Amino acid sequence: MRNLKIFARTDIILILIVTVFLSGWLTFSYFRPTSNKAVILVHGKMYKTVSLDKDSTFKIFWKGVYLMTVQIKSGAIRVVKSTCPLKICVHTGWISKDGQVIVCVPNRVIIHTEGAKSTSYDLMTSQ
Amino acid sequence: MQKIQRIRTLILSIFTLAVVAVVIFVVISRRPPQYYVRRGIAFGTDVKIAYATRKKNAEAVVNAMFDELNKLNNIFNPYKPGSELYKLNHSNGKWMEVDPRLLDVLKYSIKFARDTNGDFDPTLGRVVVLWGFNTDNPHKWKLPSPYEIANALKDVGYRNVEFDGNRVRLLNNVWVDLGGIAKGYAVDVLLAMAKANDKSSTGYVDIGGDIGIIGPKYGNQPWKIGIRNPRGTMNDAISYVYLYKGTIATSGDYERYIIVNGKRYYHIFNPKTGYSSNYFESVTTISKSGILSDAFGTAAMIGGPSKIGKWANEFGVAYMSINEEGKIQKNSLWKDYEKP
Repeated sequence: MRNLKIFARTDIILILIVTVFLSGWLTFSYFRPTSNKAVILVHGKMYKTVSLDKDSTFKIFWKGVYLMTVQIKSGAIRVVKSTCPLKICVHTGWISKDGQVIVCVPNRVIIHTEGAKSTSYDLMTSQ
Repeated sequence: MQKIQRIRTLILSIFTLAVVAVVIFVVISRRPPQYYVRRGIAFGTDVKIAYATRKKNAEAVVNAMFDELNKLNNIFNPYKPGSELYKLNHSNGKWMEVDPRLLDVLKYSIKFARDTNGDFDPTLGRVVVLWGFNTDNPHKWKLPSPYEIANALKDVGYRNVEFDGNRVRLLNNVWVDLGGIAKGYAVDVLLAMAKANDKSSTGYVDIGGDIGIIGPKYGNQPWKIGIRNPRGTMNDAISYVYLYKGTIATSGDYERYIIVNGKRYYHIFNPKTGYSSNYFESVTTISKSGILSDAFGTAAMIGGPSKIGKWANEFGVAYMSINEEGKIQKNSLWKDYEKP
């Protein structure tokens, strides 16, 4: 009966080790917690990078001039108030997914998320 | 014994192969993006460029593209004192030598006006100013009186643009406003810059929603593009297309508009009436050239459902329109882009 065994004990140990190692690596690379953050650009320059995991509300100034108030809550970010005339940035509401963006052309502010869950598209065509 | 040995070798080989396959698959599928991406505000709008090239100069090329957009703004912005187009609009009917790029776009726009029987008209500058849509300040957007509109319409008409070599003259007080095609032209200019640097480079340029594809994502995948819901927010897509190449642009009634007595008036005007049409909430166009995609949407907003299909066949473009009841219509060319 012994002779009919296909694998030696060392084979089984080897297979087990490789399997455990592989599944660990797969789990790690697919479910690695990504840091969920928002990048704020003002006048084309990096203004601030903020974590979306901590709730907060802050103001954005450029060269001492108040531009807008931004709020972070439960992993999402929005513009609460802005000095621009159209308030498109305020009406955009909350964004939380990677690739989503809030743009304020008059104040030259761009807010986009990074490291979050992806949107379902790469780009958006609009007027 | 030998048989068992063979089975053992076989199973172990299959196992080894499977492990190698999984590792390769995971490494490839998690390949980090190789794109250099820059966002900014240029040309009066939100610009995003993603670029990958084997030449390792992606950042320099993208920076040059942003510089080019600033130069183009100094040519095509009709309301910026000192710009080439501003000077032409204030040349009092005299012949003026213009920048070759302005000449190209002017000629294109006049030809397009002829091809659409004047539904597209680049000489609506005075009407745009009358409504206040030349400014970004919505408090200045207003409904003019019928008398004011009739008056401004006297100074409109693409036949008042005359060419002589590289000189242009504007008759009858007309003011040129290339808002309907300048963004699309800029897309073409940037795509040409990207390709001149490296023919096999990939990525995209997005100038305020006018998009041009430099090359497929990672060299072989399509870019998935959302069509903005005209009654939704900035990040709300109503439909999707997949592009490996070409350009896509949208004209709509949802950014520059006023509502007076329940009626919506927006920034694209019918040159025969001086008012906007109320056929479509938006028209999105896919074609080989950015300038065509941009101009087609503008013309279709005015021409409406009776002309859009005919024009699409003539110009060979794919389109998707959304009418004022929210009903979506697509031509058969469009449907080719709905699958990856």
